Amino acid sequence: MSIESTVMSVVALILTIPLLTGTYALAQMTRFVFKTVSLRKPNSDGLWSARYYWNPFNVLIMKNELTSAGLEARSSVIRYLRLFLLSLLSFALFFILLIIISSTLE
Amino acid sequence: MNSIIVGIERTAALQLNLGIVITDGGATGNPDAGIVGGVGVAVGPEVGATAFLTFLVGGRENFEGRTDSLNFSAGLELEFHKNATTRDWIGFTIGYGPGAGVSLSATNSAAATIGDAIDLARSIARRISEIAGSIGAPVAIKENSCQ
Repeated sequence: MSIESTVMSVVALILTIPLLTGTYALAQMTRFVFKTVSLRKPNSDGLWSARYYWNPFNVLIMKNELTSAGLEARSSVIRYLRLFLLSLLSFALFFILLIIISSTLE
Repeated sequence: MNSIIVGIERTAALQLNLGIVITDGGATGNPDAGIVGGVGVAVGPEVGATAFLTFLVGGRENFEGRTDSLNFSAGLELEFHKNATTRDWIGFTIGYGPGAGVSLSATNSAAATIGDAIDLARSIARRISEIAGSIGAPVAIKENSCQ
């Protein structure tokens, strides 16, 4: 196997991992958003309404009172959101590293 | 549909999106996958944050560059996208997450794909081969060069 094909295979393999992880994290995040919505308590007037707040990721998250399972689900949303962002960040960092190596060798 | 993007989006005057794209390359490109991010402005009363799934015709020409979109959001989000250069409708997005409103947005997106990385890796490997070759090559000595 030549150096060229070895390097290309390794790069493709390394970059596939964060893409798969990111897709998994996003699917889980969506699942827990659905779960959070289904586990909220009704408001004091007995109506279901959606009130939101801004979390540290600047993403709107439901503010309605949640059951304990709902609170757990909401923290899972944040956990998987963080994993999604980290996956994409690692992809971007590896890509930047390749650009730096390439320009250094030129 | 030739390209699919899954990701997250936040809209509140400023529109930010980040996602993973998988494409068969459309009519002219090669199959590829990577990350795509966009920044834009949205005009209209819409505030929201969604996890989304986008379906686009064509390849890189449609998920990179400027896109104009019409967005509807009420828990579920629906967006229709237009390529700002060709003025063709190129696809739609369905999203889910908190938010409500209607807006028009113009977004500029950039993508980094495994295909791009492989091109970079190929040029790095070639350069390494050249360097290795030049180290191993015999050095030509000119006879009587000291005289």
